[in-house]
Amino acid sequence: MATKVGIEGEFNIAGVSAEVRVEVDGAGSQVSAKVDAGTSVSAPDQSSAPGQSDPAFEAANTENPADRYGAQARVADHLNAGRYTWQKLNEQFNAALNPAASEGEDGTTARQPDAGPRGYGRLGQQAAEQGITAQTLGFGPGNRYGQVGKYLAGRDSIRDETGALLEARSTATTDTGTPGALSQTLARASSQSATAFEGTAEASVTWGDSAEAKSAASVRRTGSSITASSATAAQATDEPARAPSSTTVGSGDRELSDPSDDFAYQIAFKLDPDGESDRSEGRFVARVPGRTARQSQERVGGNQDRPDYHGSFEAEGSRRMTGEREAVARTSQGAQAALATESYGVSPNQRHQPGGGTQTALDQPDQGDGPKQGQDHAPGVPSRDRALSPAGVSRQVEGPGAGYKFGLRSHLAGYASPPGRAGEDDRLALNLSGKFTTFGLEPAPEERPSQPGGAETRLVTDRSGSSSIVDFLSGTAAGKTLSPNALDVLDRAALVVGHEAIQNLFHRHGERAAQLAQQATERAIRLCESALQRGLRPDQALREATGELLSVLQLAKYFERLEQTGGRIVRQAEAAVLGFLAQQYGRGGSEIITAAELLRDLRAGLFAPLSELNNPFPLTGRARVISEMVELLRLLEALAKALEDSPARQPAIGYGEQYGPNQPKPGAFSGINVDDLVGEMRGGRKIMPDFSLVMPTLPGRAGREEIARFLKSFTGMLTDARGKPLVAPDGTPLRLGELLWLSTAGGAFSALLETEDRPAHISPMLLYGFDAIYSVIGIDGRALTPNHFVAVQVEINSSDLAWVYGQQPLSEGWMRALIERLKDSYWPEHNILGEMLEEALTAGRFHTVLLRGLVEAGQPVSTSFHVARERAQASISDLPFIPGFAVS
Amino acid sequence: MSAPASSSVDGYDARSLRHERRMISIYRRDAQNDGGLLQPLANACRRAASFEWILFRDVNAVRRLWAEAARTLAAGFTQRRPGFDPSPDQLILALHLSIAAKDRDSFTSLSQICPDRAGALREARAFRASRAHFHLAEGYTLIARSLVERRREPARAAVQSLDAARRTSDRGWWEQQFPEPLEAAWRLCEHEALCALLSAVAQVLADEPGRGNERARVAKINLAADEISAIVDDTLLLLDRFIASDINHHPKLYCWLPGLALCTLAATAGLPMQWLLERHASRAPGYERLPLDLLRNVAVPE
Repeated sequence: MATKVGIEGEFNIAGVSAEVRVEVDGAGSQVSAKVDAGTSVSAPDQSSAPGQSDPAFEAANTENPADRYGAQARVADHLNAGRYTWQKLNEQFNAALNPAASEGEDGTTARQPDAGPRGYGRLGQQAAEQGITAQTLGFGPGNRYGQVGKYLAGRDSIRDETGALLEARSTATTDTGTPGALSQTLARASSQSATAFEGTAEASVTWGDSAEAKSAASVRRTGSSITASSATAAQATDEPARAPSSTTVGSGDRELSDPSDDFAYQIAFKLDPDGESDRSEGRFVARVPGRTARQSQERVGGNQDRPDYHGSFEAEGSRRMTGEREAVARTSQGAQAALATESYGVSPNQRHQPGGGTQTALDQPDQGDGPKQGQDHAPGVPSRDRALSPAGVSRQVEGPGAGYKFGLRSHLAGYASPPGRAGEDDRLALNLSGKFTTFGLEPAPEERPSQPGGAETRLVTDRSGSSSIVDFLSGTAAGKTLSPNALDVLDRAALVVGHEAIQNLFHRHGERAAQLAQQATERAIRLCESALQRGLRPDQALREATGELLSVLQLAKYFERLEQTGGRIVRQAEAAVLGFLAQQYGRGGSEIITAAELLRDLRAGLFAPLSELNNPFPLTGRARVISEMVELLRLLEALAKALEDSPARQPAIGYGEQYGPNQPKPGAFSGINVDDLVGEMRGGRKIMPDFSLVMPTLPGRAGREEIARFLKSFTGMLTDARGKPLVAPDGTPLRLGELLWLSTAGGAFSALLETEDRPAHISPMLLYGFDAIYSVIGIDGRALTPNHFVAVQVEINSSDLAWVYGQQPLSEGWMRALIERLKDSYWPEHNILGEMLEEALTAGRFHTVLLRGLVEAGQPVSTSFHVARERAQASISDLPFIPGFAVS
Repeated sequence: MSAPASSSVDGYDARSLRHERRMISIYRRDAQNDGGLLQPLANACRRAASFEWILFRDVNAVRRLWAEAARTLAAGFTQRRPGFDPSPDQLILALHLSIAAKDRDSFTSLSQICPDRAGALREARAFRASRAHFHLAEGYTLIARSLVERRREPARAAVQSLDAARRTSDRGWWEQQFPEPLEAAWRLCEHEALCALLSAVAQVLADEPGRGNERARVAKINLAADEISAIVDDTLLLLDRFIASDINHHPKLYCWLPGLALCTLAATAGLPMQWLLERHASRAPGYERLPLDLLRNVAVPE
């Protein structure tokens, strides 16, 4: 029996469309499968395999700019599959974009670009010939082919002329159910605009002349309104000769409302096989985690001829506006078509629109995960049953909706069996799935109350700016609501890290990562706007914001590498860290702990259990990683508890206060005398609110803050364990005078002097520089001429000090590298300090001491701290050398 | 230029130049007896040269300071002065300085260094764990040797070394050594650009003119020049972005010393440099850090 089954799907969502058409011909065990993309794969005993080409595929290689994305998508797919080397990818891309370019004038193969930067340049040049230039990618006017090529090579998405970002990934698998399988992918993407889109998805299954099932869904967005519709229909005839009777299997209606910050979902679904049914079933489920409501209804429809008609419709809503629905239609003839669509979005500011007519607030508690089959709809929640046209599923969202995102994932599957022989061995099955996602829909800007400084001082043009930044960094939005300044800096960050890394972060940790990025960017915007309102340049704040985002990504990469050894607990720790950081950024204040600081402590191994320090058989490998992660989790728990107990603070807005003219700069100040400091401490007045004596904190910071406590104990005299003065040039004991630099607690001093609101200390100059620098005075308090200085570095839990700038810690090269950073600082005070230190170092007047101690659970073990003159320089033979290096 | 517009007004450059001049005099005096001050002296000379350029555009003063820095570092490597840290980054810098300053003596002496584990870099402390730096230093030195000795074998070996320098460049290492992410990205990009530029030069040097079609050889040279121009384009743009992203001063980047040195090297190797004139004529972005004044009279360090 010859059987033909076809399935086709088309996606066109937010400018991304894909078309797939698959046909399978089968006769007994002979099966032929064809994808209408110009590619055909047949089973070994193929009986017929028409090789017609698809016009759409042909068009992908034309010079029509809108069609070039077909080639791009295919290249991206090859890249995703990891089957292609860079060189091959280049060839593929060049051939796809510009077939003529792969051949010379004389018909010979032209020179292929080499690997490396040159390859990027050539790839960019090829792209430019097709109209993909630095301008269209938004890199700014100064960019060249290399950046364009590198960008394109590193991503499977590109931006079109309007700034909309395209992403297309599709997979299609055809399982013939008999020997021989087909797997083929084709996606074609096009874009119209970032502000309006229309997407459709359609699946159809035909079974000879006897049965056909179709399912379609579409989404349309114009401005701030979104309309979604879907329809499922099937028709079947028992006899080919008989006139087919059309039957509407089902149609549904769902509406979206958001009475609070949560998301409520209401769906009505009706199976109405043209009024002939005596049984129908619809099902609906909606949930809002936390304040969850769920609704379900199910009806089974059919008529006397087709009693096992079945249709169901599911939806799920959450705070992230996650919706899922599924429509399944079966016919008694054994053909089945299924469409599952997941739509989701984020609408932090969306509010319920009164008068919506069909909206229903769902506010019942969560009833568990997943919809329950056959469950009645929740009490008090009216069902929405009504007969609709086949395309009558609609949804509309209007209103502020600032910052919401919307996505759609679709899955299409078709199954077909010979009439009356479902489940038998010769059953044919087709599975086709496509996944398309879009983000970053940006509704019309909402009116905002005017702010001091005027609109021209704002970096983000609407309230959705934070999410716009997140979307921009993840490569899913063009950032049209961002100011040129913000866009420029964020573009740099995206270029440095890559959209892919940011997407991976979101992929790994979803809501947590998004929340973290949101909080971090919101804080950055606060800082930038604060600076602008004070007439200051926002560069520093933007740079810090970018740097902090990069640090988060570096942290994520660190955990990702660690997970290969440590396993699941690493991922748990990473999730806890992201949550903690998000809490920090949202909270603001002076003692904020940043990703960069945490990363430094992790790299230094400061989270190793104290019990390991004296272990003759120290833990290694997985055991060590797990022990460190356990310690990290414990510390985060302690920190969260301490923060909960501490007084609430206002978000940090102190950029201008911190960096304004004539204001003390972080990390560098003068005029604080150790005697005064000690006096304050003796008087019991807590002048440093961040003291680790009060609050647990990161091990490194706890150790650096311990410097001040140490000075209190020794009244500025640095001695060894025997009481011998450590700083005694020419045999004359000296003691510490003014505190000139204190990296971590420097912020605390700054807060003491000015305000508690300040940006985070994320500058590497502060994090990785000198921990503390003091001037040195005579034992009797007289100033020395010329000045002497002492740098105090802290070594916690016997960890290794970090190598930075390629220099061994505490070596002269290391000190000079740090001094040079001070000399190059934007702040003149830092320059002058650096110059003084360089002169002192050269003249032997700059000393180094090492403060060693233990920190446990974020609290310093006070009795463990002691001062060493200086870490003994390792001999050359002890230093790590590159293994196996030899000159050829 | 990279310095903020207000920097000159605020006196950063002038004040820093005074400091560097003061330190140079101190280092010159004390470096006679302390090899540990050779590198600081070279560094001070380099910084002072940057300030001289940005303030006075004095080509001779700049070259004089670069030459002094090159000779200082070359002395550290060749004489193995106690206290001097013979690290690969300093060897690379010394070669840059000697070429940019067109100082034949230091270039010749540096070309004779054998930068392997048992050789001149045995006592290296800084950048000791960076395999990529050692390979780059090796490749650079081999190219210098190829030029000085007029032999092609070192250039062929240099191609392999530079390829290894690219392969062994680990992004994680850069990020760990340079905690500022944007700086790490710039350093990594600069390293890759240096490897690519030197490779292009090395391939031309390794090519024997007598072999094959002369027409093909000319085409190859033109291709190498194209590659060099594209790499320099991209690198200068990234440099511009890095500078623009950081409000701190970067006096060493007022001019892109490695770019100047490698353009000079490329011209020395016989590569056409018309593209550089065209870039300047069209005021291509970033090329103010590759000033023609510092490139003119590209005397070949034989």
